[in-house]
Amino acid sequence: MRKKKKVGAEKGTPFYIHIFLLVFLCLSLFPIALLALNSLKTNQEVLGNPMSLPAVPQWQNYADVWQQGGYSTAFMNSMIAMVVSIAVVVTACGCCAYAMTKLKPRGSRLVSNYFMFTMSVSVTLCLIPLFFIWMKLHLMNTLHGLILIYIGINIPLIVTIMRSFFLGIPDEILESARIDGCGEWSILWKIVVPVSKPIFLTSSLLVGLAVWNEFFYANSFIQTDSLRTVATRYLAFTGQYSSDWSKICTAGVITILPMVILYLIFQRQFIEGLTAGSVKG
Amino acid sequence: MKQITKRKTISRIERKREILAWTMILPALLLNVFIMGGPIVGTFGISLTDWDGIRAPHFIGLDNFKKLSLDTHFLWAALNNLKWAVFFLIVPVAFALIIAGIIRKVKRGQLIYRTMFFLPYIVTSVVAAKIWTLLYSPFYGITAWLQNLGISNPPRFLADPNLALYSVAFVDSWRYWVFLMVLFLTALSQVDQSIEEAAMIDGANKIQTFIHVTIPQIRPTISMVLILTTIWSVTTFDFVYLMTGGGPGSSSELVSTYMYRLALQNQQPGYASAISLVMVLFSVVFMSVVGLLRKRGWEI
Amino acid sequence: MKRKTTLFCTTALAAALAAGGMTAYAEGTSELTIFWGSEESTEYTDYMNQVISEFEAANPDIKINLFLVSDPEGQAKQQMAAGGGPDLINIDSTSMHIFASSDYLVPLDSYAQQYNWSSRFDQWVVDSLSYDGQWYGLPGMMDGMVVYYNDDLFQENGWKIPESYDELVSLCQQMTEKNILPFAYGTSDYKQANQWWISQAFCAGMGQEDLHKLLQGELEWTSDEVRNTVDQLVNLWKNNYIYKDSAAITMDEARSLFTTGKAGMYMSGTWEAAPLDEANPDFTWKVYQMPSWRDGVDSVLPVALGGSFSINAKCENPDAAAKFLDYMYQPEVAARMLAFGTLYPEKDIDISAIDAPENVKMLQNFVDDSLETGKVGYCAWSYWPANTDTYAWNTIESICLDQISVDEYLTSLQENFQLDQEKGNVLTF
Repeated sequence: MRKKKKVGAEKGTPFYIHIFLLVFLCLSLFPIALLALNSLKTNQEVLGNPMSLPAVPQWQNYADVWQQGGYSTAFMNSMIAMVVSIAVVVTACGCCAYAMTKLKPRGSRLVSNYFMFTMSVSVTLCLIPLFFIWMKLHLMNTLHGLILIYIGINIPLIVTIMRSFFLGIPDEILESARIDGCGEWSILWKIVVPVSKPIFLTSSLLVGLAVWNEFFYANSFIQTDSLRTVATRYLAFTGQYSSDWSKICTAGVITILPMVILYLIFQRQFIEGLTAGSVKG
Repeated sequence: MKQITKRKTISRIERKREILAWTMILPALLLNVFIMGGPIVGTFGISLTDWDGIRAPHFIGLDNFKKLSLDTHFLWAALNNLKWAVFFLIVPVAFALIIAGIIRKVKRGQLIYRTMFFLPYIVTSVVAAKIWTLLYSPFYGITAWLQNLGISNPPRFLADPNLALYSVAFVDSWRYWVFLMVLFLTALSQVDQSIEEAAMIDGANKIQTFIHVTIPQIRPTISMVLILTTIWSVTTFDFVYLMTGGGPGSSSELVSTYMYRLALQNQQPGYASAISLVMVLFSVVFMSVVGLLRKRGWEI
Repeated sequence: MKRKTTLFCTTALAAALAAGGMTAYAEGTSELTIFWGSEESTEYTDYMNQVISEFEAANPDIKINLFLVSDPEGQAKQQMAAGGGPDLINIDSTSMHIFASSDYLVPLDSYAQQYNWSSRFDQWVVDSLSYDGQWYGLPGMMDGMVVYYNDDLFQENGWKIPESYDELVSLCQQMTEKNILPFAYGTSDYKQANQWWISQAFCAGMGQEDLHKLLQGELEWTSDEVRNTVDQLVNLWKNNYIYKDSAAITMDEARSLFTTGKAGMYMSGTWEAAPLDEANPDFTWKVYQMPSWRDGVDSVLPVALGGSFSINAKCENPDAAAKFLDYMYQPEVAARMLAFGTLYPEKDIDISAIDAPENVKMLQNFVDDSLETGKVGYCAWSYWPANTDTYAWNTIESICLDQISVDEYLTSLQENFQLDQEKGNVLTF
């Protein structure tokens, strides 16, 4: 809680601050607004004046693009990738973080240092070896191959934020459970998991966002259209329809909409999760 | 400090616990080592060969690195990375600090502002790159609009070799600054307001207070931001690849795009791995220097 | 007792399955895979599917799978390098040579004899697809680089088709004065398109003989002839005769600059005929061959063999693959390709008899005439070795932007060429 010392009469925020912030906000969000606006125009309108309002909202752009762009397949691919990645990452990191914070075996310091290191290493640097290993293992151009990569690269961040969370669980609860004869796995399952629902939610959102938006590996490792995720489907779509700007904008909205909606619902978790991970780094 | 338990034998329960703990740790650890740790080591190995991805690799020692030090294209790209880093250390950081400083003055609605400002970070890079490419288009974007207003020689953004890199950097920072802003907001919320108010009573105006009183109090966060920004600027890739591909010419080429092209298009993964390694080394050296200076008492 | 029965039953079942499996294999169908560009036009993909179903109908024991990928060449190359890949490989000639040299491809000489393929193709085609005396690929489509121009504009302004470099420059000058962009050009979505202008420039600037010597290592890349050629190209670019901001607009946008009359000319391949017809501009467009930029040297048409079809060494049914190739290249079957604006360089195809758009036929005749007279140039993506080619198109923009000097460019080209020679990448033709 912030200590508030009253100096003089308590006034509301000066309106000029609000004006300034709102203007800046509009400028900042302008490109996104433009995207939404242009998605409802015909191509001629966009080319004529990209910054105008649509004359007649072309809602069928969305139906057209959804079909032409093969988005039902792309959405499904991204969903599968998301769900599987989240499930594996949260489970594996949960166990790992719990063991590192509560069981503290010898050598776990090395592991946490290792994860700190990999968090600051950018994933672009792993591309070349992964590329050729994946080719030899015939994982190239497969969805499960891509998902495996997503799992691997999300682990360091999730382990780190889970660790901070678990550090906040009082040891006494666990000790008393142990004295009562509970095995470690049932402690994990019956005590830790229910308490950790918030961090699981945050972790799932973070992994979900990372997988949905991920472009670098999805683009380099998947070439078959039917396996593309939403982000790379967008890229392929813009390549095919490079002169139809209204459709490109529509496809853009389709690409970002699910995450935006999810974000607006879970704002707090998103923001705190994304920033907490970096602060600890 | 780790407690050193002076025990000659470890009880069976302890050992069982340790094994269990490691069983819990291993899946996550192994998965990550397989995907990240192993490949980073592999990069080192590949960089010592002349591999082209098709024929068998031959060991050539440090030849790739010698070639790299003479490669003007690489040095030019590295210079671009430096320009990028400087841009990022100034522009988004400044914006984030200022806006965070202003938002915290808002009595009600801070969270709404925070949420709305943060939106660009959620937008995937491919879409952001595309909409900004439209805005930068010489025929349909800002350039054309300025020309219609009668301004001759409007900036040509992505087509202008002097401007291309900064145009792309601007787009990336459009996404990045909101992230920093949220970090600063959190840090600022923990600042003791009473000191600020004391300064204002003493006659300082709002800006002076902010610069001389508030900012020093969040120095740890600021320095962390600067360090992270520097490290991330070495490997930044997405926006340059999506918007200019390194062009026009090589004016927006970054080390990462050069590496990517060498590995996947020019069939020189051996040489590209050398670049990869240099990037890793830079981060490692930088972090070590920071750590060393901190140990010496430098407050960064 | 029960256990023994179970064991017996399981073994019997396993044996039955194995026997069944083996029989199926013996009588079964051979399957072949081909990678196909998912971004190809629907008509072109339909054509391929049609050919496949006709072939399968005539050969019920062979099944062919057309696998749609966005970068079929890159994909095929990557997978081959990893020990797999599709059965029929369609990649550019330079890569074909590299893979042939490392035994990734099946030599086709025995099939050529069996199916009498040598009677279908000219010797130079066979030579350019051979490595170490063995034939490795059937030719892909023939492309030529031409200049499309807006005939209405030319008539209106009394402009003539240039016949020398100076006339070309003067024409561009006149166009610029009328606020018309001379050559539309865009590479933002496909930087490799720089190969088009490089090919055109080198063919026009050096002429057939010297270019041939250059590509065979008998002339240095740092020689005066090459320097003059590069200077001529850069000169066109710097004066905005070739659109200076090409790096910022896409190929589509460049083409629409031409079709909307903002640009007077468009230098591209013979494949452009189909999209131009589709765009249906409201003026008549025609083509001319770029004149030679050197006095006393004949003009040539830069041609490229758009890749080749080869058989993967890992293919389990090379005989079936060869049979399909033979069908694809039957003159009547191959002739249908002309509808899409391109054709295989087969000897017996009678263009006038094919049902295809007039413009497309006209362009094909263009190419055929040059082939007959032998006045052809060599396009980068077909005839230049890998490293030299990649360096050339990657760095050409930098010269125009004064980021590197022509001398540095040429020296690096020479170095890359020497590297290619060491690695055996240089084609002999």
